[in-house]
Amino acid sequence: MRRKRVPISLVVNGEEVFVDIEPRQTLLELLRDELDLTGARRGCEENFCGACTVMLDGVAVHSCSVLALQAQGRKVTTIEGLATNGQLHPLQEAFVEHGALQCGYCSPGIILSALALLSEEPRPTEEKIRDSLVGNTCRCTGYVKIVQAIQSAAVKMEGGAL
Amino acid sequence: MIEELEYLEPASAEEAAALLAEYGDESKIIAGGQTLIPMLWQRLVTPRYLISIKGIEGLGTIEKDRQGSLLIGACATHQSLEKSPAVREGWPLLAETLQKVAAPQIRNLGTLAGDLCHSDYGADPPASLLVLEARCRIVGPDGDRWLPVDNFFLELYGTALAPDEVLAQIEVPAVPDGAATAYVKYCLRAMDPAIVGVAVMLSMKDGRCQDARIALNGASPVPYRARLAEEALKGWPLNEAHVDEASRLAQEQAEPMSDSHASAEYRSRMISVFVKRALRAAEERARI
Repeated sequence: MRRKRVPISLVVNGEEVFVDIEPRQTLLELLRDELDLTGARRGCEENFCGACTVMLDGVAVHSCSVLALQAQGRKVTTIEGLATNGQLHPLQEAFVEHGALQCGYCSPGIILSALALLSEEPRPTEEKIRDSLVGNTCRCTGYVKIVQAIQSAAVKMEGGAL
Repeated sequence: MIEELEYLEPASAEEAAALLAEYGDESKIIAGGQTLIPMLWQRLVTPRYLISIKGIEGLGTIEKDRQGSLLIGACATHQSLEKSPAVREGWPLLAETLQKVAAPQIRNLGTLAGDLCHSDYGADPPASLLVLEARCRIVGPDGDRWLPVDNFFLELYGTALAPDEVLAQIEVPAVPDGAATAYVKYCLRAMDPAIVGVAVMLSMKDGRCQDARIALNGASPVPYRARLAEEALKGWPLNEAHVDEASRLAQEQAEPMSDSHASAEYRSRMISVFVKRALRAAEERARI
């Protein structure tokens, strides 16, 4: 039996997308299974680990805990939307330079949380950076290099690189 | 995947209540979804109909009325409240409390009203709303009623809402002139619920406590006002003996539970520690 699907439209990484979804699908499932954007990771699916973090209208959200329907008409940014013309975003570069990742599973979510923070507060204190990562769990590296990478990206990005 | 469901978008709170009346146990209200969606994943609830109130006009607003009360619509998010200049200026206790709720991602979508409706003992906002003596506007199929937040929480995960009622608005009266407030939370990881959360409002005059309000999260299956502790402080300076006595009374009133965050015994011991810290934090602010 074909399940009931409903049409929605949203803007993903700057492009308008029209897609038929099931009401029970989450934004994470829409991104991964329908749009093939697998940078948002499937982690705990309990609104805790933050591996699925994306930006929704400029703020960080856990995409496992948003229904795709709730994203109707809104703007979504995933890790795939950060590099431009093959050039990594300053945050991505900083993560590479500082070795701010090991397995990499949490990295897209952490980078998007950091981008949401820096969009609102271009030169955050270390405490602010740490506060912004409360909803992103990294079980490999600890957060020292992650915080350093975000601080260094903040310096590079000042002056309108956003 | 979560179970199959239908997503309904009523145009008013009354219509939402009518849908609840029609579909009963098979339906759930959804606003921010930050508690509900994980519960759907875990099959803790399996509604066939989700009734979204997010699109209802006027439910997302945060405004001050003529009496100086704060009116919070059911769809106002933690983040919009925490960042609202009116809230920061007039109700710093609320802003301080909401900054301690879960994580930014959750605060960006989660709503204060949804937080209350879930009635989880480790949630942060209830104690502060008890101290602020907030009221709830509840909409049913036959109209509205107002209920003090003190009567809203009935049991763990259970509220005074009838199956066909919607929490539409929260009214927070102006903070009395000169009163100082504090919310102190104890948890192991920043994202966790409160093992103990204590909200305090203190009015001091000439070094003595004129009025004290104390409420606790995490300490019992439902949040509560520690009224005996409050009474024990009135008229006295906040010296060690009186603060000890108040914290003992607040602790005696608790019915602590054991969970994965803390045992009942540990929780019980932490109650008196954190009631003292909250009183000291508010007292310090009262001096400024």
